[in-house]
Amino acid sequence: MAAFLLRRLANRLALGALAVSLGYLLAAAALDPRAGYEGRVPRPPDAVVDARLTALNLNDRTPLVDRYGRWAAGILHGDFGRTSDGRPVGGELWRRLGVSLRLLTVGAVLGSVLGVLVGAYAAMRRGRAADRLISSGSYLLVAVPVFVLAVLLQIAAGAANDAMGVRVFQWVGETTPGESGFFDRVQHSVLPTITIGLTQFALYSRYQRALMLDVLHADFVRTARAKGLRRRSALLRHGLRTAVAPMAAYFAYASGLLLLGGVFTEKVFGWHGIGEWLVDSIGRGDVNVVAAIGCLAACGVSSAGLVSDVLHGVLDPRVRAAV
Amino acid sequence: MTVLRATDLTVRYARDVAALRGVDLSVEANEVLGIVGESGSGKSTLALALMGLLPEKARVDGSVRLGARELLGRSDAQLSRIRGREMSMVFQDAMSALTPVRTVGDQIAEAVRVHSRVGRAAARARAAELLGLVGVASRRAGAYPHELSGGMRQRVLIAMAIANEPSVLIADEPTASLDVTVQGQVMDVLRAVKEASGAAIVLISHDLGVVAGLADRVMVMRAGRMVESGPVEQIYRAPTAPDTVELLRSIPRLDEPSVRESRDGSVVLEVDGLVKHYRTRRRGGTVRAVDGIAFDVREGETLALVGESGCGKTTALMEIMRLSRPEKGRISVLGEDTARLNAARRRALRQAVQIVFQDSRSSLNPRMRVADILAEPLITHGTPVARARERVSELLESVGLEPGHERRYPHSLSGGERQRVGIARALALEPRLLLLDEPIAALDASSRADVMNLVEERLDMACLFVAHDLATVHRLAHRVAVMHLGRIVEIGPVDDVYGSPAHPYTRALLDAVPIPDPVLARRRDRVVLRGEPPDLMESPAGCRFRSRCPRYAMLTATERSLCEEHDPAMLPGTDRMVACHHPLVGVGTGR
Repeated sequence: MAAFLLRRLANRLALGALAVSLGYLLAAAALDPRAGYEGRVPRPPDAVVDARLTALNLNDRTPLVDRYGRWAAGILHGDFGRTSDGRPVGGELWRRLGVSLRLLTVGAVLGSVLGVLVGAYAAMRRGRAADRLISSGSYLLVAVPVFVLAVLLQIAAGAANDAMGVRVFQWVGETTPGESGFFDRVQHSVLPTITIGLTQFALYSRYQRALMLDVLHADFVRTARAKGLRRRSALLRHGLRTAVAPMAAYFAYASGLLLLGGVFTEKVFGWHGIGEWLVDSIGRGDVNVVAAIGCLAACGVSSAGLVSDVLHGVLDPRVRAAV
Repeated sequence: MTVLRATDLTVRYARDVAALRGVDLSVEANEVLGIVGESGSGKSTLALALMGLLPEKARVDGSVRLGARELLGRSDAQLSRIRGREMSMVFQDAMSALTPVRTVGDQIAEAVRVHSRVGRAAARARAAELLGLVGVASRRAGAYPHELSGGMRQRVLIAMAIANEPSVLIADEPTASLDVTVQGQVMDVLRAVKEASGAAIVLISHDLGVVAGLADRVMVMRAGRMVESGPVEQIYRAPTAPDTVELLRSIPRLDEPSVRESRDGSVVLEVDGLVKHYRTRRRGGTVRAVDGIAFDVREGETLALVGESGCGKTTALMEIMRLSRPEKGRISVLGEDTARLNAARRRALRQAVQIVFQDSRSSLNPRMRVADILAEPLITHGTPVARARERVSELLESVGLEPGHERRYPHSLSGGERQRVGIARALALEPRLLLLDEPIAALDASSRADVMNLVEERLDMACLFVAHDLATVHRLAHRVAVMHLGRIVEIGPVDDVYGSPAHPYTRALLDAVPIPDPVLARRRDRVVLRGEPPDLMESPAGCRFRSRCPRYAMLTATERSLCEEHDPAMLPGTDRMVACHHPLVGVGTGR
């Protein structure tokens, strides 16, 4: 297993480096930071703009290769360059990563765990009322765009607040300005967590239901029942245990991407996370920020892939044998 | 004392589709009831109905009584307390019957813990003990199902079933899909279980031969009904129902003389020193699938290549089928060395070499009609379409299919019919050399007999017939070559080899063939192979069969040293050859 992991690690490092480089080159070639300076009123002289862009390594008149070289050298030393208004990208990146993680972690974990359990339950009750209810509910959730869901939740929370006469739910920003208590943070994170959780839940329950249906009539579940296990425990201990292995792989990959996919939730609830920053930076033509987020995403997906390999290997011994 | 009794048991899936119609059975303690029938006769449905494990949509009527208690109509919770403790089941196809992601020790320990309040450690100890009881080294408790061989997996299932010493044990085709040698071992385990526990055993099989050695009474089923039942001797000696007679007739028997007279035509296929090794990434080893084999097949002659699964027989077949340069050695077809063929000659030769595959379900294109399947090789090799159509009708007729089958798709045919299509497809181009890769292994006993008869009638070209047991090829082959771990250990005319096997392995294979005669089956003095075929990747010095060889075990130290140090070679040039330092009978010259 160790040799296999090392090989995979080397593979992923190479793939990550390639993705990061391509990300930078694409951002540098497509985005136009000059427009941001030239659009200012009063318009600064060309020489000043040039000097400023060169200082930030954003000048489109420097050959792409040179810019890439300077940027890559920085990355190797842990320096992500500067934003178009001159602040270091690195510090902001880590701060925003923290925000995104606080926003997403609880929802993603709750949503996927619940999704797996409910999906498995739906499969066990296949064709009955419970299954129909869960299935149509999750289809509905999959079909509703995240921002619609978020706004609907806000409306419902508003009504609940009015009915109770206290502001139990808060949904603007991460904290109320001037307050920093734990309770305040919890109040603010309930709605975004539910939003993330519901969307995750919908996807996972669909996947898990399909996987579980495959093992519902598996011979080994029947063997477990012949041993004297009841249907439910046979399905959970043998069926779900087998059917959850492919899901673990999916979980790792999906969470790598979730980080960027959280942009709608961040926007709607006013959390200043990674996704929001990416969209804003693309608008501003801020090459270094986009490249840094690309770098983060590449590392995230690569390491998520590695985690998924490990998880899959741990959960399914056949994978271990095949390597 | 009757332990289990079923009365008028009927199972319906839909309103009119009855899988089981009014079956009665009873088993006493310390008695083995054999249930025999073709696939689809309702045997497995019966077993599951007794256990209460039928799918929920099935409707069960009648009565199943375990001791004094009625089992039908009980809840899953109530039945769970009985299943695995008082009544347990051994399933067929142990690979899919074991949970792939949990160790076998864990799965056995679970069977213990479900029914008694014992700690984890105690259950684990009991699991190890049970494994020892069924002949699996207890250190294998930590292994996952895919890490065990088929025979060991089946033993694990038996260990699980006897964990709580049940009073009724139902075994559903416990030896299907196992090699004959391993089949014998598993049956011995069941026999030991019966003697040790005094449990009532219901043994289900499509093979009357398997049942003969163990059952006290036999029940024959067809289309969901019982057609005959009685003491085992009576069923085998004086069967009354036509279905029983048919089942008995379809079993290949070794005690009947072979019917094929030998031919002496020109050599069609010549294989010399053929080697095929696979390199595996894991452990960086080499699998010696075929490790230097030599034989020839003459015009009008059938040579059977026989050995346990994994001995390299199919690999050898595929190497011949490739018609290109082998890794080592020489293959020549119709006098042409396959290593020297150009593309045009190879294509022409492909027409002369055809193959019938083992699994007709996966070897026929499911999207093509039978007519198109048969016409394809003809058209590929330049037959005009109109002529090809005519030829398709001739072919169908020649393999005993109706003209109406032309328009059908493979999935709507029975296994036997599909295999006929496979044979017709192979015969379409009138090959000079026909390769048959276990053409009947996947078929029912009765369709087996039909397909064998067909093959027998049609085999007038040179044939290489691959099979995993000796009984199948007895009637068909002129000569037989026995393979073990990539080598041919004995080769010779069928009557000589079967009559007086020279290699201990041939003897063991012959002894492992179940005899469909309860008296002979119990009386015969069998040589049973211990263990399983060793790993193809290890190649120990000296004789490869040594570790399993019953003869080696009886040799003196000086005699043994020959086996340990020298790889036995096949002496060339004679009609009958054996690769053994201490053959059971002298063969050829100079021995």
